[in-house]
Amino acid sequence: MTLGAWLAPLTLVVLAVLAATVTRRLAERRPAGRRFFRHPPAEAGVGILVFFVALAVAAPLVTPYHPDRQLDIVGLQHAAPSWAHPLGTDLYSRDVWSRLAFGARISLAIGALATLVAVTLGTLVGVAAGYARRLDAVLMRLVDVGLAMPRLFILLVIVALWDQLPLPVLILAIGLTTWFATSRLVRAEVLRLRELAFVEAARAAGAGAVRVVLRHVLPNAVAPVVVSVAVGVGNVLLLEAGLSFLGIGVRPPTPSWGNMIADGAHHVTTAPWATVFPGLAIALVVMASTALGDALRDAFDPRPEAP
Amino acid sequence: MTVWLVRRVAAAAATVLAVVTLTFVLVHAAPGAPFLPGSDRAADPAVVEGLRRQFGLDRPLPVQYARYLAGLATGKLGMSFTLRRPVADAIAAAVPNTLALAAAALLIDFGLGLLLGLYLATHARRAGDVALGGALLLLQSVPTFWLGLIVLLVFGQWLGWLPVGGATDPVVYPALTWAGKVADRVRHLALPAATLGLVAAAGTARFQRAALLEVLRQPFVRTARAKGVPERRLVLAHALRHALLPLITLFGLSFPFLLTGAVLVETIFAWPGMGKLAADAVFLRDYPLVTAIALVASVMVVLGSLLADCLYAAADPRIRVADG
Repeated sequence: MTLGAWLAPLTLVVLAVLAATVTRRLAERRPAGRRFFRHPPAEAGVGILVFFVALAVAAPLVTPYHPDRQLDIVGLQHAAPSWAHPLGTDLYSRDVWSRLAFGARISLAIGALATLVAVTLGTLVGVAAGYARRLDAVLMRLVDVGLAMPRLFILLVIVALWDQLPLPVLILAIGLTTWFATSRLVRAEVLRLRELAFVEAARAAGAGAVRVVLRHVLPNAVAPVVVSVAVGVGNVLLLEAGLSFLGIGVRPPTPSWGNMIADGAHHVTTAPWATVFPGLAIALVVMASTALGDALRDAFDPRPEAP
Repeated sequence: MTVWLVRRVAAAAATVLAVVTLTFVLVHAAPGAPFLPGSDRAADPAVVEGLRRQFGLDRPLPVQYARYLAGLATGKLGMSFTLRRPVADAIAAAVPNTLALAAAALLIDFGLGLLLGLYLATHARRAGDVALGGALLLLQSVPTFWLGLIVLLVFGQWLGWLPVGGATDPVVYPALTWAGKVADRVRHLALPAATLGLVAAAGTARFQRAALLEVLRQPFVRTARAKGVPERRLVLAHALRHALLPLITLFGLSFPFLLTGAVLVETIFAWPGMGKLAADAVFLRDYPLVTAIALVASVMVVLGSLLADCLYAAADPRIRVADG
């Protein structure tokens, strides 16, 4: 790997640190921003997310090799990390750093899109259950079932039995099995809001249910929605990794962080780097997602924190 | 209380039935079928047809479903396609192993989580809290199966302290004494239980910290402090009692996590439990086994939350539910 190739990832790190610092400066002008950054891991979380999103976007620019290219199946099999291959190579002599960067595209895309599906559905159901009282009992029993089903197992059944699922269907399947918690949070918030005076005023002024929900209730119920998005991305990433580890997630040779771990798992004793780094990437993004979730929860909650 | 309990149990049973129905529909709606020739071997169509008739697969789906439910009502889970033995036997052999793993993991989860949470809350915003809190946040975020691989690499391979697979030593176990057998099982249990327990403990500790800090800022704590109650007693005797309540909810919620984790961790450590059975059953299209595992898993999850509700009502007189 040439000097230029080494500079590219370093640029990403600098970018991430810069982005986190600037965000903090700007955010701390407002009380909510100060509450957000009072969490020590929040700033690190912002930096980590910026780093990995930038890595995903700029993957072809910062990687010296094509992620699927088998460089030298005899000489470079399971090569340890070195100047030429900073994270080593895997069983098929593919560059782990390049696969990690392109894997970020797949893994983060699955995380973002599946979370979008889940949170949209969860919000819809939550608002419906919270506002339309007739639907409440039915919808919440449905959510009870959803929370009681062994999620990974159901996904395992779906994905293993329908062989060769295309990626969009996988994303949809993950999204459709992860919205239950969100709907409960949103419902609780809607139940609180609908009793408040401004909602009553809107209703008294003759606004219909749809208008009340869209213009008055929903904009005030963003807190649980936003927190769900932050936490959801991490959860989906872990699910995708678990499914790929069982050999039924993203299909090789397309790299995802989950199937990279799965590929490396059988050789973890001889070439730990092929397994360790993608796992670390997952852990960092999940950590960032949890940290942002915690910090956002506080940012939306104007109570002073305990001493 | 009795009425409430009856209702709660009825709702739990309905939930389990829904999960079983969903699984039943899913496995039968999926393309492909058991006993069909795989890519590697061809099967005689007449033999396949015979097997399908033997297991009732040639009947319409509603009939199969009715027959399955009728079987369930009399306590029959059917015959496994692949193991050629009653599903109930296969599950009965696997459940104790998974329960042992889950119990050990729960012990680590709440034992360690509680201690660490106490430390974090009493040192809030100081260096120890920030450093340990950050480390726990990372630990909580790690994929369990990945941690399993790392633990296996470090303790099994590099250090060679503990066995890396199975529930017992295949060679010496039959010859061991009673105490030796227990020790052998504990040695085999150590790594998978630690893997599962540590990730959960990290989450529990962070949760416990928040719960304790929430209690510590309430007026009754200030009153006690003003009256001169020593800080140690204040935390352990006054605040902790209240901070344990939310932990009960977490206890109920930890069952799904443990079951999910068990599927992956058992696969890595070749632990002969439900998780491994489940993964094998799905890949081999063993319909009765898959459905039965969904049944057992959802029963465990529902029982967990039922247990948490009962504990909650028992622990906090303020939220005892009124009859009616």
